[in-house]
Amino acid sequence: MVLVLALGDLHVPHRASDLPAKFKSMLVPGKIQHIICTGNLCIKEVHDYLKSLCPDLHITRGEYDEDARYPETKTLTIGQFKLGLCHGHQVVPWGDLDSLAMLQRQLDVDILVTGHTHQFKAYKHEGGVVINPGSATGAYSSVTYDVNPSFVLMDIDGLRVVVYVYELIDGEVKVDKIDFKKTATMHA
Amino acid sequence: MPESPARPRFSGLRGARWRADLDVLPEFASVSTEEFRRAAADSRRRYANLRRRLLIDPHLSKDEENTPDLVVENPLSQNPESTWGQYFRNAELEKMLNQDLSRLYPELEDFFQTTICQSMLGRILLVWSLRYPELGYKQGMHELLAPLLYVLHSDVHYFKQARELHEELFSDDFDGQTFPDRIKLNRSDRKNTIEGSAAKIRSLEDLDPDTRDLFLINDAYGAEGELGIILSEKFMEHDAYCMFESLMHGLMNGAQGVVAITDFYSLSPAPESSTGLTPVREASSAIYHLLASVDSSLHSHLVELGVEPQYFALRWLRVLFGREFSLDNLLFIWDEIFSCPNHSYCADIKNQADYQFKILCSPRGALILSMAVSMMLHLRSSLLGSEHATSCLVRLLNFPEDVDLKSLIDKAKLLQPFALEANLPSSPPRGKSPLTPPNYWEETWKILQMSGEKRTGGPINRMKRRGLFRRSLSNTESNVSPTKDANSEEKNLISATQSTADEHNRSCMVSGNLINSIVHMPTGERTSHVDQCTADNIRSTSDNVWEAGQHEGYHSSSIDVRDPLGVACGNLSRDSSTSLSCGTDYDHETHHADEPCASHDDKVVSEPDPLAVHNDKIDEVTIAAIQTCALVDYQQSQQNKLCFVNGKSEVKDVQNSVREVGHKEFKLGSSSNVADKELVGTLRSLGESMVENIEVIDLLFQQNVHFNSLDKSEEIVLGDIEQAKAKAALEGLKKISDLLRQI
Repeated sequence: MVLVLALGDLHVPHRASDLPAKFKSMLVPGKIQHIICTGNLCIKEVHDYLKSLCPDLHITRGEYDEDARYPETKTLTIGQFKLGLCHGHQVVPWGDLDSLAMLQRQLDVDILVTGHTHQFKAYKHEGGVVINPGSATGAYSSVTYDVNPSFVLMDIDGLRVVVYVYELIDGEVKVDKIDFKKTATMHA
Repeated sequence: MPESPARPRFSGLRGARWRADLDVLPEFASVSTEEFRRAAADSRRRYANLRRRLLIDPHLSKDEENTPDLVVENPLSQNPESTWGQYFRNAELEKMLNQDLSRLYPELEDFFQTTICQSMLGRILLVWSLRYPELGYKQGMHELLAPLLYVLHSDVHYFKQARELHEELFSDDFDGQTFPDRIKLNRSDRKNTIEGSAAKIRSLEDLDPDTRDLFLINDAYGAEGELGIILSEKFMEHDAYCMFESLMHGLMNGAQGVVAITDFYSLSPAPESSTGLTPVREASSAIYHLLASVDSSLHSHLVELGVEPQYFALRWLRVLFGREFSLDNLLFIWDEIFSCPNHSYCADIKNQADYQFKILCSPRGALILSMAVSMMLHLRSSLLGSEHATSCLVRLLNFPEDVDLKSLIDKAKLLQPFALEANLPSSPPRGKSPLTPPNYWEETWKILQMSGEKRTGGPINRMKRRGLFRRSLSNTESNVSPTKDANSEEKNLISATQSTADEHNRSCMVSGNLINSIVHMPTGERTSHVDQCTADNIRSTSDNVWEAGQHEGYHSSSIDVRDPLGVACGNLSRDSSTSLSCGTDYDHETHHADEPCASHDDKVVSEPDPLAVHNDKIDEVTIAAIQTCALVDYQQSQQNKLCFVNGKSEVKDVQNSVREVGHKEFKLGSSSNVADKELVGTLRSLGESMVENIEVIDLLFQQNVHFNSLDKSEEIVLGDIEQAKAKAALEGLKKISDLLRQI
């Protein structure tokens, strides 16, 4: 069993000062095995904070990131799943499922994680999953004003992945869960 | 099934025996096979339920529950009640367990380091620490568990072998019935392969009862089916857990026993304890209590050095000697420990006033502590030879591996009844020692016999002897006022003889103690220690020698040795007693197996040298010589005490120092006021007493021979050697008496 934290679009310090306190209290070291971050952190301090939660940190580059060394896209394999990571500002139209599905095929991944729209979305598509964890700090974006802070935790166990969605609504953390089973024949 | 209780249970099956001893299974002899199997099945079911309940998999639990509250049941939940919270706590525990388990018995990694074994051990300990969160897992518990799993494994292995031997009884040839030809074929094939004797066995009835039982308890079609198979590889984990739990709680007949290993891990004092110490410290002090009554000299030595018992006993007790012995040896020790019942040995002992140490109330606890004391006695000599607490602890914590396990266990078993007795509040903490470890006692006994004391009661007589000693002491003290009367002289002689005999006994005890110790002592350490001691003592002797009867001036560490010397020095005018103590000295020598008699002869003969040189002041010189004699005596005893074993150079050292002191005292003597006496008379009486002394020894000697003839042959051989030495010593004595007479 592996826990993977997926988050992005923090926009610290430009659009938000920090992660919400409730999120911070939940995110404790020791539980999470991997962190995947879609980008727009934007400063090194955030990077260091994430590193303190879990040293296995994977980041792609958002358009506001200071660190230019982050890659545009990244793929990694956890258990039986292949994960793809991209910020998403390169994929137009932004947040469009078909365009994202194209990227998913391109990267040849089971789970594609993107950001940029600051809105949580999760689609089951063509035997895979496309997830947008939203903005972890609730920062505004160029298309939305009213953003609820949210992030995603994936529990990958064998051929099954359970996606927990954590959303801060009116000061309360709401948790949702999406089950996804990969069929063994999908990727031989 | 009717069983004869006399038959030893599971002769080859240690695991099954332990399970019965640890109250996991009932006594096999007392119940039917069905009940026996049922008990096994029940214990396994219990563990299976525990495991299911305690080892949480959050993925599985979610399927069972209907729509759990996701705010609580999510991986990042802060709620301690959530399954995820428990899961993460378990994971943390498991990590700690694995750290210890991965280092378990690296020398037996073929078994213990396999993944199967590691995961089994890990699960058992995890279930344990979850079942008893207040006790939890502590480092060391895994070392208690591992041998249990190991014996279960060996049992299964043993059964497999027995099964192979009688294979034809176990084949499920049901399908063969439709093909009668084939079954015949198979049977005949097997008969050919199996040895003639085994081939004759056609049914269970033909087997010997032990093997038949073995098969009956392991028959998959018996009561409870597969779950009731006593020796089952599948249920090793279950069985090991049950044994472990029972061992940790000290269960006995379903009730809490006296000795629970969990107590040894507890950090808070037991509620019924009056001392306010943690149970393990209480048990440690119980070890010292026992040691004090068995071997007070070792006890006082350790106490003097400040070696607290818990320094080493903590480790010994917490893993039940698992760190001190190899696994093979450990199993034998545990055999003994487990076979002792763990209930209170006496029903009426209930309240605290009736005993001193709770752990000593059960035979098992007594055996555990006896074992510890037996181990300490095994190290006795090297412990007595150590002069620092650290070196003592080094020896205690690095127990030698090549020990005679059987004698160690036998010793512990002999100590066990005494430990139970020592627990009674009426028994004084020391002095009462009806039982000493057999090896030590045997040796003492031999020497006692050599001394020719007509004692039959052996150990019981120590008190008597002590009384005797006291009497003789008072005798000599009362004689301090100088008398020249022949009668009183004679009386004095008798009393002195008595005291000498007494003395003799004591020194024999001492030398007996040390005979086994000598071998282990590193020579360098010994030498330095003894040198220092001798130097100190000589100094103190020269200072105090003129103060008649003042024993207090002696800074010697051993009371036993101090007293006779004090008396000897005090009786300046009573040459006889002094020379007698010289004689005693000789006796010491004869019984001190390693001491060369020749060198000693030289020494004593050389003493008259100053006499020849300073003829004009013979009076003083005589006294000086006597004192030197006394000194020699003292030093010899000191040597005995400190196991100062030959090595001629060392002896010479002492000799030289003695001579120096002789000279020094000669000078001192010239300026002091000594009672005027007839020189010749003194010397003559000296010689006479010497002769008398020889006669006494001769007499004792003959008794010896008589005693020995009754004894075993090996002791006679030993006695012969001693006799020869004694004879040599006698020769020496005669020489001296001649010399003295000539003067």
